[in-house]
This record gives sequence, C-alpha cells and structure tokens, in this order.
Amino acid sequence: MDLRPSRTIDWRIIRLVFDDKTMLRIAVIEPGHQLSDFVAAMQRTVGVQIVAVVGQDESTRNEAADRLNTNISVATLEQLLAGHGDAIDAVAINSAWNRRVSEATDAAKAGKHLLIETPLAATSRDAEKIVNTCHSADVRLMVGQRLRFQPYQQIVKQRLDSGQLGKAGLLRIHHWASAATVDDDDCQSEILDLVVRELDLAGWLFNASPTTVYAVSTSAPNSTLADYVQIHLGFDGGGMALINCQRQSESVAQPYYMLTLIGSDGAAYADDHYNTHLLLQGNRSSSVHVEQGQDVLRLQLEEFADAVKQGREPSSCGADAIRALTIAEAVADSLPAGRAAHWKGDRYELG
Amino acid sequence: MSLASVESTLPVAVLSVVKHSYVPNGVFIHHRFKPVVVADDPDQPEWVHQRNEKYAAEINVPYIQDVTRAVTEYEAKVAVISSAAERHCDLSVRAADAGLHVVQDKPMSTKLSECDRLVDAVERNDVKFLMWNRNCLPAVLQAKQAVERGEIGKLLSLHADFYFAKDAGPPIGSRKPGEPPLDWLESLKAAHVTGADGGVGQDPMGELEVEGIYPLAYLQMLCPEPVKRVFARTTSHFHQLNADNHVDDLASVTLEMADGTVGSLCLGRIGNASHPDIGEIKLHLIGSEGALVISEARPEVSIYYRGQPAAEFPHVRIANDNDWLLADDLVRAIDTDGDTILNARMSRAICATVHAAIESGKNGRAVEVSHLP
Repeated sequence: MDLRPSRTIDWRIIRLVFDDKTMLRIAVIEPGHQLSDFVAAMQRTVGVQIVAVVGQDESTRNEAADRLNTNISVATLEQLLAGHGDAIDAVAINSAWNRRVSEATDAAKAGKHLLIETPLAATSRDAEKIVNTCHSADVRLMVGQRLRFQPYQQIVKQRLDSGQLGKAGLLRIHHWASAATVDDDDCQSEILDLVVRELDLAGWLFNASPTTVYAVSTSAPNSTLADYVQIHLGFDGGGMALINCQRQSESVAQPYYMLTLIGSDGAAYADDHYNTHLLLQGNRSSSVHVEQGQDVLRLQLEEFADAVKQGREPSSCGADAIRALTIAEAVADSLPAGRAAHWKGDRYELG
Repeated sequence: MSLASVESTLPVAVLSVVKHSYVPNGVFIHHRFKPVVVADDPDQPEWVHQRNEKYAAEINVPYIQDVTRAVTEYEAKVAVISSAAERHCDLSVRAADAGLHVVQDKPMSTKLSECDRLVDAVERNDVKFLMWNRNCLPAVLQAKQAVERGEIGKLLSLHADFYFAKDAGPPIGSRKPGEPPLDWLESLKAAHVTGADGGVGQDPMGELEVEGIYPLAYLQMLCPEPVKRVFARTTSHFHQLNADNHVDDLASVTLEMADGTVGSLCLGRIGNASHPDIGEIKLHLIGSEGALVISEARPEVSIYYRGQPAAEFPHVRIANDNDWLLADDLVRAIDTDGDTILNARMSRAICATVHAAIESGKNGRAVEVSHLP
C-alpha cells in the first residue's frame, strides 16, 4: 500500500475544520433575482455565513431572510449599521446602480468589506470614488462578476494562464441574453448593462486594457432598446476582440453563449451550440440547453472570503471594474460618432 | 454572345494551374465541362510550366505555351484560371475578350484596378464569370434557405468565423538573428505539396486577402446589401512567413451594411494544433424573430481508428456537392443567360471590402468601402 500523502490537498476540508471561528459574516443588500442563487450557494459555501438581509420591500426582504435563515432583516443599510454593525463583517450589494456609491461609502466607512455586483457603479468616476473610499477605510472590495466564475470562462482562463494556448490573439464572444436575464430594471444605461461584463472578461483574458475601441449597434424594427451592440477591441501587441451582445426578442426562448479564444499555440472553443441536447416530440425536434451548474455565486463568495482573510486583493477587484466601465464609456462614445476611440495614456479619445 | 445549346459540351481551357488544382477539378466533376487544353504564357518561369505540364498530363490534354493559340485552336468556350494571384485578372480579361466564360480562383486580384478591368471586360463581352467559392456547402445553403423563408425575421446582424487550422511554415519568433526573412514566393512554392499554397505569387498576401472571399461571400449571399464601412484589426500572430512579409494571419472585421445591418468576420490561419479538422467555421445570424447558429462543417461523420495519421481529419464532411453545384450554376447561367452565384461585380465588391479592411487594420480607423457605380 502506498502511504505517501496525496499530491492534491482538499483545502476546503482543511478550512471546514480550522476556519469555523473566522467565518465571514455577510449582509446581503437587495438580493433580488439572485436570492435563489444565494440560497443554493449557501448550502455548499465554505467560510461564509449570511447573517442579515437588507431590502426596501418588507415582504421580499422577509422572504429572503427566511430562505437564507437569517435573524436580521432591516430596510436600510443605515439601520443595519446602527443596530447590528457588530454582527457583520461585510456587505454584498445588489441594489440599484444609483444607490451603490452611497451604500458602498457608508459600509466602507463602517469598516465593512464589500462585494458589489457588476457594474460597480454607473460611471467609471463613481467607481473610482468607491475604490478610493475602500482604500482609505482599509477594507476589501470585490466586484461580483458571474461571467468570470462560470465553467466556460474558468477553464479557458486556466488553460490560457497555463501557457497551453500560447499568447492570446483573438477573443470572439457571442452573448445573446434573453430579455429575462438582462438586469435592466434600474439601469441608467441599457448599453452599459448589456456589455460591461463582457468588457471586463476581455480585459481579464488579455490581462490588459484595449488601446482601441470601436462599436456599432442595431435595433429591431419598432424597438426602443439598443438590441444589439458589437464591440471591436484592439490590444497592444496585435491582440483583438470582437464581442457581440444581443438582447433577444421575446420570441427567442433561451440565451446563447459562445466564446472562442485563439492563441498562438492553441485555441479554446466554448459554445452552447456544442453543449445542446436534442428533444424529439412528435414531428418536431428542439434543442435543450445544457446547464452549467450553480457554482458561480459560491465560487465568488469563497474568493471574497479568502481575499478578506488573507488580506489580499480579490481576483475581481475595483481596478478591474474601473477598467471595464472606462471601456464601456469609450463604447458609448464610439457608437454615435462612428469612429474608433484610442487610449491616450489616461483616457480614450475619438480618432 | 449567343446562348449555348442545351446539353452541349463546353470545352474548357485551363489557363495556368500553379496552385492546388481543386478549381479545374471541381469544374470537371460536371458532365457538361470537358478539358481540352492547358495553356500559359511562354515568359513564365520554369516552375510554372512544370506545374502546368504536370496537370495537363493528369487530365490527358496538351499543354500549350501560348494562351491565344490554345484558346483558338481548341475552340474553348470556358476558361478556368488558377494562376498566381497577381495574374488572375489579366488572364481572365484576355479570356473574356476572346469570348470565353470565366471561372477564376480566389482572390480576385491583388489590385482593385485589376478587378475593375475584369468587371468591364466581362460586361463588355457579355460572358459569364464565376468566382470559385464555398457558398454551395450544405450548411451554408441551409442558412440561406432559412433566411429566405423568413424563419428569423428581418436580418439584423450576421457573423462569420473562418479559422483554417493549418500551419504556414515555422512559427513566429523562430527566425534567428542574422537570418534573412523568409521569401514569400519560395515558401509558397514549397507549400504546394501540402496544398497550403493559396497565396502563391510575387506579392505577399495576408489571410484576409487570400481566404476572406469565402466567408465574405457567405455574408454577401445571406445579406446582399453592400458593405458601406469596415473597421478591422489585423496582425501576424502565428507564422514567421507572414511576419517577415508584413501580412496578416489573424484578422477581425466589423462590417456595416448600407441598410444598417451589422456584420463581422473573424479569420485566421491558426495552426494545425488549434483544431482537429480543417478549422472552426461558423455562421451566427440574428434576426428580428429569432437567431440561427450554423456550423459550416455539418453534416459530418466522426471516424477514429488505431494508427490514424495525425494529419487526417477525424470528422469527415459528407453530402458535400459544392463543386458540382457551382459548376452547374455556371451551366445554368450560360444556358439561360442568367447570372452566377458569385459574379464579377459581387467578387469585386468583396475584394473592395477586403482592401478597405486591410487599410483599416493599418490606420486604426473605420474605412469606407469603394464600390463601383
């Protein structure tokens, strides 16, 4: 029998044993449509405990508190900090964009670490305010970015970082979101909401900001929304990305995602087209979307908790969010101008 | 020009066949076309004559080093041109001026002015022109039918991915200090044995220029609106040959059509290691009522076996009638005085789009595409 220790160590088991006393206690502000994800994630998340729910609507808030098994349920962050400040270490903010700067500022000044859903704020300037406040208050800021934690993106990033694919050359994304999955309830900018996660993803995969941004859009007849945005990015060293974000019409039932990354030594193809089952019924056949699991939020929460405990920057940090928002603003400039925006050292300028 | 009598055989002169011979071979699949001669100009270098002669022997026809005499003596009705790219249009113009219908290999030309000369010659002589293409692959035709039936409503955007998983000599960065840059023509001549010599000629050409016509022809067939403006990124990312000759092997293009439809193209010669088959080739179409994702390779059958050569594609395309359908398209155009699936003007529009994209890749700006009136 081989008695040598296994080469792989399950650190999560180690943490279960040793980290009970250092559990990160989180208050969730406006869990909204992410409530089910939080409930599912908390069944498996290590090192995190949700201890409070904050929400303006009482019935929704109480339902969330019940499902998350928390004792604290309050209407505002102010009430939370005043009445239960000692009971929490961090807040997860999912509230409307126009509340994020004030809520983040208040929580950071109270010494609470922050997990804020993408987009961090409505503008890059507001995002900078949040980042600076967190820095001054010496609290950790993680920006929730579900795309980075999805299985497609995780494996592509892992293989790219390992060097298997060589130097990244071209990133191609098609993201067709069904109307129900677009967070536009309280968006100040539909375009920003449509593209900001993909822009962050591009910066993450290339590990750089693009030097060139060009964007075009189109809409369905009679639509008042920007239904389709296509963003073309150029990076130093010849890298490029073409990102197509589409808000699906009501008649299209399910979303579609495709990510291709072409490297100098290899390529990765993550495509819903190749991850689809077939349903045959009578004389009709239809595709059945293959689910990718529900681990996204759990991974985010664990990364947040680890970053706080280890006193390090989270893998998706404030600087990343500022970068994505700055690119999104260049997109918004390029769209009506029909010109490319070029990076000039401290800002994008239309060429 | 008078209409050809129905079911008559069409004698074909192959004018220069220095690249892969798939274009003339594709034409000869159709029973209406019959090879009668291979011909070229006498001032061509010896390697050109050798390849022409070899092909003539393969198809059992004479090789004549005089284009005009060959066309006249053998009473050719159709010319098939697969020369070096910079000679494409000149040979095609001479064939059209001699009253021959023309089938030409891609790219149309390395110069837009040559394309214009060819459009003029084809229209002036009232002959048919077919740029060889892949528009009759079963998956592409299926996409066309779905769009025409209105299954996705009004087309809003359309996208092509066209990656060829082929190497092109040594990888980028492999040239040692002091070594001379790789010679384009000599390298492409050497690539003939692998069939990766589509860009053979004096003028170096990037992947966008060599292969761009295929995906752009898909998009043009699906959305006939002219491309008004392009924005492109181009780079040499894989191959020393491309880097040494300052031409792209990876490109992405934003396309803006005249009616507001948006398109895009991603294309590259991405290396053997990057795909098990010829490469990832896909179409994504978005309409007002739905969307369509098409894999160009389908239908295919997967075959794996012990001792399988590394260079053999494990996924075998089936039901592919592209060659016969293209040849038949030309037959129909000749018989009915109709138009071909990719005529001279359409080919010229694609060439103009490619040239605008190359310019955009160099200057970092959106570039208007110059179309004929």
